[in-house]
Amino acid sequence: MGRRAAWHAALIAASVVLLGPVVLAVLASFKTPSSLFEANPLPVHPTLGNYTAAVARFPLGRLLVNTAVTSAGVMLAQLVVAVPAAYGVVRFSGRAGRLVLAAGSLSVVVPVQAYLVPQFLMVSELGWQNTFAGMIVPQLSGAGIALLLLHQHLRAIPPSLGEAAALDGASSLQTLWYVVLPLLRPTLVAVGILVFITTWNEYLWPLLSAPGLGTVQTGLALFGNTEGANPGPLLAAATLATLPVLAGYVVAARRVTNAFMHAGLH
Amino acid sequence: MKRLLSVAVTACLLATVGACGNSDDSSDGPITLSFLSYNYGTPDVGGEGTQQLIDAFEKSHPDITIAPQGVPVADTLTRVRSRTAAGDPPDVAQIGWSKVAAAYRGLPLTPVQDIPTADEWRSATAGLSQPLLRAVEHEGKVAAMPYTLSTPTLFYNADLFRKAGLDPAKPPATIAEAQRAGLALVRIGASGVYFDIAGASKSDFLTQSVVAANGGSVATPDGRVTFDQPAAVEALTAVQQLTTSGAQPAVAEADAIAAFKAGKLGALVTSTALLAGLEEAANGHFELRTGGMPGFAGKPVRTTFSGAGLVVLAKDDAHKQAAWEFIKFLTSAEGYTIITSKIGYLPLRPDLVKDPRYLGPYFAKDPRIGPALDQLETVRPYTFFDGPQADRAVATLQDDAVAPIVLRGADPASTLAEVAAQVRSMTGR
Repeated sequence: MGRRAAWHAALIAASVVLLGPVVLAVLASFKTPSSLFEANPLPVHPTLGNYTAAVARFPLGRLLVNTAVTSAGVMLAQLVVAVPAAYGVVRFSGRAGRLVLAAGSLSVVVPVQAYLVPQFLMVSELGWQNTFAGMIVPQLSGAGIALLLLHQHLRAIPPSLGEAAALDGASSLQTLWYVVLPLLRPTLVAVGILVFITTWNEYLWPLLSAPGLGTVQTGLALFGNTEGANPGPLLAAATLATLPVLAGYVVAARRVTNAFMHAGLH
Repeated sequence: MKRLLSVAVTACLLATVGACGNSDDSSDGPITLSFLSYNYGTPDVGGEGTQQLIDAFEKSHPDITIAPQGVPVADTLTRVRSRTAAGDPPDVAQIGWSKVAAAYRGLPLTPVQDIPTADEWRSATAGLSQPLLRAVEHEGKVAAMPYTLSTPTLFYNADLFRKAGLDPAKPPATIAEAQRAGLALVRIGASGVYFDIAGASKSDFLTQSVVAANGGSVATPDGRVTFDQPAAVEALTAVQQLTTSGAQPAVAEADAIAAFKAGKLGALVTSTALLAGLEEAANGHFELRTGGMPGFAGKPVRTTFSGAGLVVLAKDDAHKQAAWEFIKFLTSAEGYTIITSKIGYLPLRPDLVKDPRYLGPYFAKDPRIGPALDQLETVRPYTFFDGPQADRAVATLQDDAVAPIVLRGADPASTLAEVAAQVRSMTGR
């Protein structure tokens, strides 16, 4: 029991260390400018002034919409590519399947900076700068991680289910659509959320490919340009920008954790 | 497979041709000028002031439309370089002065002075600060037009000075006096004085100014590293003693600025550009006053400047001419009236200060930018390191030498020697 209590105490301490700065930042976003740097972390005279300033002086709504459209687009595009690829690798395993898996692994290992320049030149040549296509399509190169995760989960589905469907006259695509995808739904949600969060937090690619459109991450960086510290509205804007993705994560937290826990156990 | 490949190649070729077609702007008729600015779009007075400048220019030049784009200050060069690599550079870009050397070296810019005729250049720049114009020259001409510039200023809380028994009419003129004032302020529970010298991105001009005030330099005009010489070591030792004596809090620049805004820090030596923001915070809470940068006893104060220049990357003559019209407006009497009164940067046309049509009424009401303006008379060139890694060298000096010395008690002589060796290996000088 003592050991269990010690373990819980350690976990609580780790949680405080991880979440403490976030909680302090959110609390500080309700402080007045004069009390912002007081030792007391609680907003003694709470104000929404920072939120009013952030919304009035900052195009938060437009940036949130841009980021949401991009993140949803990348999420859907990666799933549309990764699901049939993973299914193909499991269903028709062989040299081609191993090659696809190796390519997926390689795309995860190679740092994004390595192909940033060619991607940027391609987007420029296609005239896709400052378009959603330019933001979304090149990020398909990140579908490798989705492929690997889905592959692990697809391998756990008994082949007999597919064979039964085939005996009933279903084609491969029909088997995928009517038999495999419903079983894969929790994993699809988890992988989708992971891709969504990663894309939401992306900074370098939107900065290069679509600074005119702007996303919340590139927008928040503009607070660093202000002449003098402007921490109150920045904390308020950062809190508002985090809320949508936090809400998505809270809804799907268990599925995301399960997806990672089970990936690699089969 | 072959068919798929040929479709892909054709699509790429068509896209390329399409892109080429788009870049061929007509020289007649309305022109759209792309303007990359790190002030545009910010949620503060800088963003509002820049929009006001653009609106005023478009109103007076209906044939030219400005297409502005905000960019995070730290990523300005990355953005300009990537757009240039893609064949679509911005026509005009606002580049921070610490990065201008890299722009001279790596970007296909047209020196601003080369665009107008010699007569037009003389007439357009006649009212600009001539010491400043000479200080920003590169290879004998103004390649980047001085735009939003500032010099180091002493901001102080006159109410805290009175409480501490200090005379608010006599702000500290030397670093030693600043130390005495700081200790008096600490005795009444305030946070003393703060030299904003150790910041990563915006403080290098203060390092240069403090070292220059002691007769030293960070680098020679040809880029040779000199910040490990005795004058520089002595200058940074003096600023370090502010901290070790307790007169200066050992905090990051953002915390010091916020503490000053909250009325807890007695004095702050930083960029003039912060004036508007500090005024806003002080209004109704405490009396904000200004002074020149404290120097060293018996030595003339020599400051350099911070801020940004405007570079022209337009590809055709029509856009270059439009870019010149835009730059001429931004640095005109009307332009600097907006820049100074709205954003807080220095009016680089000193005559505007007393002109009732321009900044006369503003200065009559608020003369607090005066001490910084006076420093323009003796302004020194901003010093660049040499080579393609000059930008990284500045960050190394600030992060690995100035911050550890000033805030964390590192030994000035050995730290500067060690970092100077690193920077020499980076720059080759």
